[in-house]
Amino acid sequence: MASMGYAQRTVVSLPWGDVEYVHHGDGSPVVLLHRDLGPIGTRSLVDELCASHSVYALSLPGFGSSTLPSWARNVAHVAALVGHALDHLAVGPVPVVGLGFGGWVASELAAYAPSHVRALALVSPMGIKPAYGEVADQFLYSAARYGALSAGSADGFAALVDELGADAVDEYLDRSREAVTRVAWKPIGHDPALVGLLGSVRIPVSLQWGSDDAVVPVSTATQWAELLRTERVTIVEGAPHHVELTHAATVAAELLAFLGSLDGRER
Amino acid sequence: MFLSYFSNQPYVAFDEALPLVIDELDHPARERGDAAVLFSNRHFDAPTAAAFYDTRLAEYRFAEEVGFDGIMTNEHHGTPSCMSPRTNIVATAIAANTSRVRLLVLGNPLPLTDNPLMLSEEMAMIDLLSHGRLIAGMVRGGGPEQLMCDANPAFNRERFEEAHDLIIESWTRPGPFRWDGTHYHARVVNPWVLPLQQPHPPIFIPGVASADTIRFAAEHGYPYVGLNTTMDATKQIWELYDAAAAEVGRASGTEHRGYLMRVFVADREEDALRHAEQFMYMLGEVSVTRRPEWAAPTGYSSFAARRDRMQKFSGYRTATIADQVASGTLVVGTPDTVIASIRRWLEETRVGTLVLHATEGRIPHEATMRCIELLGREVLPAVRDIGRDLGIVGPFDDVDASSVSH
Repeated sequence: MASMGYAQRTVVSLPWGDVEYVHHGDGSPVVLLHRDLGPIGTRSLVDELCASHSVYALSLPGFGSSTLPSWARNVAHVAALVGHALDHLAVGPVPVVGLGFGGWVASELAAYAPSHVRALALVSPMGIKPAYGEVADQFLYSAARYGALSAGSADGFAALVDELGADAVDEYLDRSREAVTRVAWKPIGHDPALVGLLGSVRIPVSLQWGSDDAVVPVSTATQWAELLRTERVTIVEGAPHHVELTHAATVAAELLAFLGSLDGRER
Repeated sequence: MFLSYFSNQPYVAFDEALPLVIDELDHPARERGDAAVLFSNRHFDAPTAAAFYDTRLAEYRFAEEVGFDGIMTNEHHGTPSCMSPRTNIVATAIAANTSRVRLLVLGNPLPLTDNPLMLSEEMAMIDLLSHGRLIAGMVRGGGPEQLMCDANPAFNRERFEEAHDLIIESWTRPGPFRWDGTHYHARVVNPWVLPLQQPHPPIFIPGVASADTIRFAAEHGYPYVGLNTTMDATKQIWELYDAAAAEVGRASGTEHRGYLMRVFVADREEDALRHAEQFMYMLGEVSVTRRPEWAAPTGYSSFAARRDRMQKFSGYRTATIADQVASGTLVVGTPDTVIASIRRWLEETRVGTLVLHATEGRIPHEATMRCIELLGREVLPAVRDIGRDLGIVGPFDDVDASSVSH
């Protein structure tokens, strides 16, 4: 299974299965959780972050070579498994960067296991029900059309999956979709309990969103900001759901500034 | 032999070209040619649909009158190709409109329900209302059904098997008892209404050659009905079925073999061929199976199995009428022509259950009625003779030979 082809993958075995991750750089640790299409398309972002941070980019359970136990049925379960992985890696409390679906997992982790999460940097996260519009239902789209919706264009999607190699794309994306199917079939793109759970979370939060997000409405950023009590909200003009794909430098700059702002803060 | 009639109950009161049009009201995920799931129900006309049901019931009554042994019903959701979103309701209507035919419910899509006990009660009630005429077919449900009924395709197989076990248990084990399964949990299993047929109605399993489903049927001794599979695929089904049955020590025979055949009969070959073109309804460019992500959604089975499934569907969609007739997956003509074709099928596949899917699309009611009449008066008697000559036993010809007491 091709994933994270640009870096040496490491697989660790936990009691419930394997966790795949890549580790880049030195410095204070940061965890990166990927989108629902899988651990692809983050190379530029990781390259920017690892210059000053120790970046752990995990393949979420069910994605890439990571195992999704058969009993895992929701995103909170996935978050718990990520928590186990962080314990194993002895990383934490740590700032967690969550992209899209990974932002949902990061938020569940902050809600259920706050001791793992020092700060949340969410980039167009799923997880709460938009007050206006709705989260796109990937199961109504082919992988390619949903990918184009997420990446902003068919060309963007082609660039996103380029690292996989043409022969591997279909099966790779199908594996990613199956993981989402198993844990997030319904409600579509959100957990009704998360709003209540996040109300008590008190950690630094950065939010970034593409103005042209066709997967999760950009207006949802306001809901997240109110819920997590942050004014640190960046709307990236002209960017799609996959903000970091089209505007990697912009996203990385805000992430680095946010991570820098944490230095010296009490953990 | 057990000879059954089937109509997919199509809804056709819209312009044929409509599914090829995308307009501003359409859902953003809809694509040109989609004729289900996201094909808007603003194109549905209730009074017309009510008249369609009247027509279908008249055809069912006539099928019984001319000598069919059974009438098959099915279930699909969110598609004009099938006006039966609840197979048990159609079966109930047929029960009330007939007095002799078996009600071949093929079947209840078990994974779609969160409460299999309601299906248990419904089927028991149909069996009682029809005085023991129910065949309680069970299916996994097609891909679009998972979307339309919000049933997670990743757990389809597990839910099918567990719901099956719960339903059988509810019919055969005196209640009350608790059910703590993986997908289903029942505080009290104790249905008051139980089937007339004991220990429970016969169970048939249909499919398009999924190996897991064939094995499931064989291991339980349930007749398997191949849904319009090719002749080669049908023969392969029986190889797998027989081997799987033998592995668990079960006998298998023609009484366990079923086949759904698309067929159309008319007085003249050219009329039969002309009407049979309607078997392209919802195939080709306009189709309910043109979207792999709907027809075989992720998780429904393995990636490789779904890829194979879509190749089969693609073959069905792209084959011309002439191709289908030539391959034998569509049997068309005068009674003599059709009898000869069915003889070949029986010789090659030795099926004890034959379901004749004998109308489709925009075939006029009058032509359908004539088809049913010709089938009943000429084809069915000949097929029974052929079956007898070939030593084919149907599931109800010899109760002892059938897997289920009834």
